[in-house]
Amino acid sequence: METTPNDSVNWPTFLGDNARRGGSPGEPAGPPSTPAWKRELPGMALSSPVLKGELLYLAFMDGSLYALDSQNGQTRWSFAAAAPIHSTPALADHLVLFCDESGNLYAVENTTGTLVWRAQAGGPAWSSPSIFQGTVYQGTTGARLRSFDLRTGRRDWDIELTGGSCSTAHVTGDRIYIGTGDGRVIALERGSGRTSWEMRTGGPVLSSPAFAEDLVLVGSEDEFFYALDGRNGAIRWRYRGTQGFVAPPACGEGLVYAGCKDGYVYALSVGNGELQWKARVPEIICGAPTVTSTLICVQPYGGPLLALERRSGKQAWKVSLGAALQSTPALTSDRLFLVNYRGVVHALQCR
Amino acid sequence: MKPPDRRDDLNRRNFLKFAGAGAVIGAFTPWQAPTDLPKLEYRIHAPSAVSTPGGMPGRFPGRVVEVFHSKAIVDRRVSAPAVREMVERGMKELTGTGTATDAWRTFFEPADVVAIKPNPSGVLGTTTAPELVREVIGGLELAGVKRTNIIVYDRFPWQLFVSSYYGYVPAGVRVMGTADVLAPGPTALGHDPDIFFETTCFAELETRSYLSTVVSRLATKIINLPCLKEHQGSGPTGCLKNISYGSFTNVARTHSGTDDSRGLSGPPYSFIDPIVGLLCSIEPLRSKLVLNIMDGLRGVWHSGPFAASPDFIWDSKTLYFGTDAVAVDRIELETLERKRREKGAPSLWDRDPSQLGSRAEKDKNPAKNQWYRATSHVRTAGQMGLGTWDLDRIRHPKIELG
Repeated sequence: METTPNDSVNWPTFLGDNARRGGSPGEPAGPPSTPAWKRELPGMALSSPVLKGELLYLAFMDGSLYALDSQNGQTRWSFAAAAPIHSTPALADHLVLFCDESGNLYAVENTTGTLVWRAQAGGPAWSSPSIFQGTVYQGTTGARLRSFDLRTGRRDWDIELTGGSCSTAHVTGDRIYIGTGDGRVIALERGSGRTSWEMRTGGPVLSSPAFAEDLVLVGSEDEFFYALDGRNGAIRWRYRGTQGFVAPPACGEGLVYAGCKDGYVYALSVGNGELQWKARVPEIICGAPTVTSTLICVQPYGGPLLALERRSGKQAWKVSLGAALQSTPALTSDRLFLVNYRGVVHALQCR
Repeated sequence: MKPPDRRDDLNRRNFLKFAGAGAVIGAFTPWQAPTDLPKLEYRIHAPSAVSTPGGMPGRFPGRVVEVFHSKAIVDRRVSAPAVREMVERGMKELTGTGTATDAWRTFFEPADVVAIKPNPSGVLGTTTAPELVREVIGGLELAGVKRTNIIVYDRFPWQLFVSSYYGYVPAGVRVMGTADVLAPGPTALGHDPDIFFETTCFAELETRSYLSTVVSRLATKIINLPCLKEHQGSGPTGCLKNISYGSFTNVARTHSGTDDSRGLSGPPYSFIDPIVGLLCSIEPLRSKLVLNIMDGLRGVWHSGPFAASPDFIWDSKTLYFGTDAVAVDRIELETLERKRREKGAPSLWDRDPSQLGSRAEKDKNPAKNQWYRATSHVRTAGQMGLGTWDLDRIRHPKIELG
């Protein structure tokens, strides 16, 4: 089974793009109202659902990857990995890619769940694969970053990072940007894996970078959110919260939205870091916000899923679907999908 | 109000029986006022005791080293260099050795698999500092322990996650949450079906608490990293409670629930005393716990473990070192009592019914609490032989750095 590399198969960052849409198209027609369906699956969920066509893909800590029919929640297929899956799946053409905590990187066929290839990523993985022009990039908590051929899984290069990484790499035309547990943001040449620059923050960089306006946008446990010059790593600006930033940020229309463990979503100007608004949510934020044309949706730890107006940060609506740690909702024009920490998958109809 | 100085109800014969038995049935009548609680009947299913020189109360009974560093917290953040200095000094003082390497080798050898038990339960900043966890890992490496043989564990993976331990530990070290609250019992992820404590507290459906497999199967030794913290149910929550309630499943039942048939409910009552001590006594937990380092970089003097207000938290910039969990907790208790007196709050021993209040009241008013705190659990553990309760028998050197 082959994949022809082209732009349509790129999945260069966590949840696919700077808006963290997880493959979901469209803008919800309104707030979620009635339940469409609900599934209780065994195992904890620390990852986010991703959507392609009619299929919703979800990974669980019992080592299962499920493809559910997004219309009715029925299982189309499931795949048993060798170890718990923390990694949010990535999508590329006809493949679903994810990594398990034994470091196995899997590519399975997206309509059948058939294993296409498996490779060794070099340590337990909490982060997701990033895919760009036919190459897969996977970092691990074992301090490795490896590249693989998307079609075959053949390993290309393998480098040792300065620390373990829980950060999903952001890949651009010539660079890879990734955070490490020893506090660094590292830029590497995409072709060789050689380090272009690194910048050390005051705490672990667990967040997955976004990239906009030639800036690497990423948070650190040192309580700062950073905008680094993509060319050399120089700090262009930084913004301080009152706790660490571990959630991947989302971007859109000149703003970056950063969720913080201090319970705020900060909307900052990408260009100069100026605070546009900040919104208090009831709990710590560890999961990425997702951005639509009018809303920011964020799932705080243990709190309700909140939709904030993108321009003002005012609450548009909220819905309680159970505690979630990192899960980001998938939104379509008429549906909202979310998996909570306890493995319950919710599909809500949006008015 | 001080409790009467008695433990006549503590049935020492029953306690001693289980030390060497595979299964033990015993009974305690915990002291609780103003109404006596019914006798607590229990059964323990565990392997025979394995006597080790390192296990509780450990190599240095009755010794607690207190290390203060004036620069331990700078600009709201824990200073990793200060913590490094504190750990090295505290370990050398505890063991009486001249180098950090020798200090760590007092307890650990290269073949060990070491489990580290932080306290991730609390508001951010009042859980075990990741910087301390990282220094402990560094100390183990000095002793030759491989990173792949080091495990950071707790029952709740989500609490480990929120405290970001997974991000701070060096590559190779595993971070494991062992429980899934939805599946108590032998099928629960990461718990040993063959080692359990069985009792009924408040008519709960699940009456067993199972030991983590990290303790029973994976680790050869354990380091306990509790926090300096008040707990609304237990009084002080220190070494004893962190290692017991963080290693066994289904322990919230000791202080929550309702038993209509007996007219009991928690709050305000609890069976924390004597269950904390009983769980600590179960093998192989007792034998494997060889070192306690209490994180007192910040302290919580009221409304713990999830302090509702920053007003109840203070920068105490201190670490406490000891092998004797009871002695460390006794020093913790005295520290909390001192702080509460300074703040005008009642003693953790207080059992005046007029001090009982709702959660909302407790969150605002340090004179209120939902439970009669089971502060006596530390003393009971001492009476069980787990360590030193008597202040006169605790050597307590204090070191100031910075």
